[in-house]
Amino acid sequence: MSTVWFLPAMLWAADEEAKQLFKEANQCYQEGKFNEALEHYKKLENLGYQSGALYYNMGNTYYKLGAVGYAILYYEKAAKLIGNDEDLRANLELARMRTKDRIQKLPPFLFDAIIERWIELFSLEGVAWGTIVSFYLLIAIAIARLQKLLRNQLAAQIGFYVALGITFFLAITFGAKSYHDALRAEAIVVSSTLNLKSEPKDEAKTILVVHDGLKVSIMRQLDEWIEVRLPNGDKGWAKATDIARI
Amino acid sequence: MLFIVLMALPTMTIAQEISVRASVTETVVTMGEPFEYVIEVQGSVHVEAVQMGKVPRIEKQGESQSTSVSIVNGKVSQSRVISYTLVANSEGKLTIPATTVKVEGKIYQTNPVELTVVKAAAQAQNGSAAGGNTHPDLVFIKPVISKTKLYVGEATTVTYKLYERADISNVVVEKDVKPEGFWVEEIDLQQGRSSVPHTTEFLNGVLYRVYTVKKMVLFPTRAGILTNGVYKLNCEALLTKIKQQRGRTLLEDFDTFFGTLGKKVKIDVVAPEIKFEVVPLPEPKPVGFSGAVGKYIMNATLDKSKVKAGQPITFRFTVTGEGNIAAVSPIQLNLPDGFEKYEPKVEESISRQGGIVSGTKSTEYVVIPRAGGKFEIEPVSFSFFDPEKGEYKTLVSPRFEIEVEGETMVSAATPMADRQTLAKTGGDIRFIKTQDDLKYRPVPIYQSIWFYSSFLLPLVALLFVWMRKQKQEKLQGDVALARAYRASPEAKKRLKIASELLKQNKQKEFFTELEQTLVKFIGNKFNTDDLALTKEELRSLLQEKKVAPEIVEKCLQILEKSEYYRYAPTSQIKDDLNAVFNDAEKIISELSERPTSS
Repeated sequence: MSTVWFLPAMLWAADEEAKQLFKEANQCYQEGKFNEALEHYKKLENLGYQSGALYYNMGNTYYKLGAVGYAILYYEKAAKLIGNDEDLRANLELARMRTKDRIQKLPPFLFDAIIERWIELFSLEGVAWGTIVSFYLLIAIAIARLQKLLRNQLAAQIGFYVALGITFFLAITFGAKSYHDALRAEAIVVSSTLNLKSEPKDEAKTILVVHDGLKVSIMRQLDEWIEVRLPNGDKGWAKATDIARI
Repeated sequence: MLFIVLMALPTMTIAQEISVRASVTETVVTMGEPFEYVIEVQGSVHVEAVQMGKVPRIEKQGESQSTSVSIVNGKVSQSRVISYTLVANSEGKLTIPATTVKVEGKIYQTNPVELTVVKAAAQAQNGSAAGGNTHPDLVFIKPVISKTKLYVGEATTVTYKLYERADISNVVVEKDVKPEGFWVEEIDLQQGRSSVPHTTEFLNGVLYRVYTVKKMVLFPTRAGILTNGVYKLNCEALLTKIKQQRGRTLLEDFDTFFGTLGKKVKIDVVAPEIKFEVVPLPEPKPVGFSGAVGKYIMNATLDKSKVKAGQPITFRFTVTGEGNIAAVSPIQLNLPDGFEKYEPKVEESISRQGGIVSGTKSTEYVVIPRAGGKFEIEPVSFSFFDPEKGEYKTLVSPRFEIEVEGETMVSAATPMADRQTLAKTGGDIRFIKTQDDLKYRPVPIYQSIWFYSSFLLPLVALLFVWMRKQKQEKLQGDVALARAYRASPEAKKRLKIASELLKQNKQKEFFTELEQTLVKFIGNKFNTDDLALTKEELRSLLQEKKVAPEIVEKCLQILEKSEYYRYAPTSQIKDDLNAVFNDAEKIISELSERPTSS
């Protein structure tokens, strides 16, 4: 009984501690002690805390320490949570400018490009809330019609179909975004030089050399080897330790 | 004195024993090079004939004679020296046999002379090992080195001093030094023997004239054992046999004065190579150290600290001191954004005064501020190694503050696009976020139960509403059924009452009852509000329910008649009333047979 009683209190205390740690880390950053700041942020992350601000700050710290690969990794992680943040976009762009690889993106099909843009337009949470709200509206209209609460039958009918359409659209967007987030695995090259091999073994021929900060798509994994695809469509095998999943 | 001697000569009795001796200036001679073969006749100057023995492999190149007379303690000693310049043609040991000299009518034999002829190279090697000097007591070189154990880049001064006590002339540098692994700064000495000032120095009790023939400052460029090569001079010296025997006489001096007694000889003067031990500079080297070794001071100036945007300002950094100034790299200047920096103008001046290499290196930057505001320029630094103290020193300039007036100016020289990328790449990232939105192990929304369960609530509500409606409809349906079911028996019951009223001939009551029976029956049958039914409503209802038109007509006729008789009761024929009753009965039975719902 007592444990049940204390559990929320303990969680609350832990949260306060985490907030304090975050503050200390920010202080270190402000004083230019980037190594210490990074240690604090990492501790928070290891404790299981996540947030757009935390990832953004970690990206900043890595940038200041000159690790562009890790900076981009954490900016991308932050982008998953606070994708529309203006500061984040600016810093990510700056970090990308400092990467060595300039790989021409494969020109996407028009349809793909449209879908990509459309998915990028909303945040996952926004879409989730939108779906919920429009679904509630749809049900409300349906109930009103059943109960004959609405005088204007035509307006009720139009309202019902509009709500149905919006709900459907948002639900599909939500599904696409979730799929994008959960299943389309992407990674950032974190080792300063990465030799992409033709086969998943050390003796294999190096087909491409890329550098830290490059975003790649993960195709499949075989033990400690991961097959990645570059933005231009080239594929190669990399050691799991040389890249980090976003 | 001279006169006295000259006068005295003929009168002096020559009572001296005559002796003849032969010698060579050196017993080891180089093949192909001339050497002297000297025949000395003591006691007489009247040499009538000299007959040299035939020497194979030797060539006679020249002959010269000299006479000397000396008076010691009233005794006059005379001598004559006949010297031959010979050249040996092949190496090996050889003997010059006795030479026959006829002095004052008498024949004298000299002693044979043995000598060794060596190859040129072998001799040189031999010579370098032995100092290489043919007359080390007369002419030699003494190198003076300030330091032989050095750090890389540390200066060392090497001076070659020529010591001589024979009148030397035609000094020619035969082999100059070849310092490898050194940066060489040659010190300019006013060359040319006559104008070179000389000093005198006593060495082993002998007075020498000392000339500085070469002076240079060496800066080793790498660590290890380095050498500077052999220095070899060639000169001509006035040489006399007597001089070689030491002990100067009055006559000798006298002869030297006239230049008749001595003999000009070519002499090689060799200074052996000098070994330097060069050690690398100690680690760790300070940041920005570029190899400057010595003793320096730095001066940093900025011509103006307040300027309008677009107006040039000049930074000038000078490094002055002792050391290899040529190896001092230009000072690097780091500027904040908004300043255009041009290639620096680097100037150096080197002084070799007094055998010390010193100088100044200046780096001048012309900078144009492009944006207004107050700027702080990071101090520049210059690091060097002080070999005397054996430590690094870093000189740091003061921090510059510049106030630039005016708005951002755009230079026409830089294309717009370039500047944009420059500005962006040069920019810094934005500051961190201080608002925490920490979440403890958050679950992505597409995995959260709350998200999906939030859809259940409206669905449940909808289901509830729908089910209630269904139930209501079912209930309503049940009422209709009941009414329809009850309709016929009720109507029959009422018809009975109506027929009773008809029998009693109560016309008014009969019609009331009949009308009510009919309307209520239809109302029940079709589940409508029976009381509210007017004639027109009844008609439309029946038509809607697709009742046969003649029945509808009949029904309406009954209602019309009922109205008529109710308000204007007349003595009607009973048959007519019976017909009405029958019609009503017929309608009811007809409608009763219809299925209730539809």
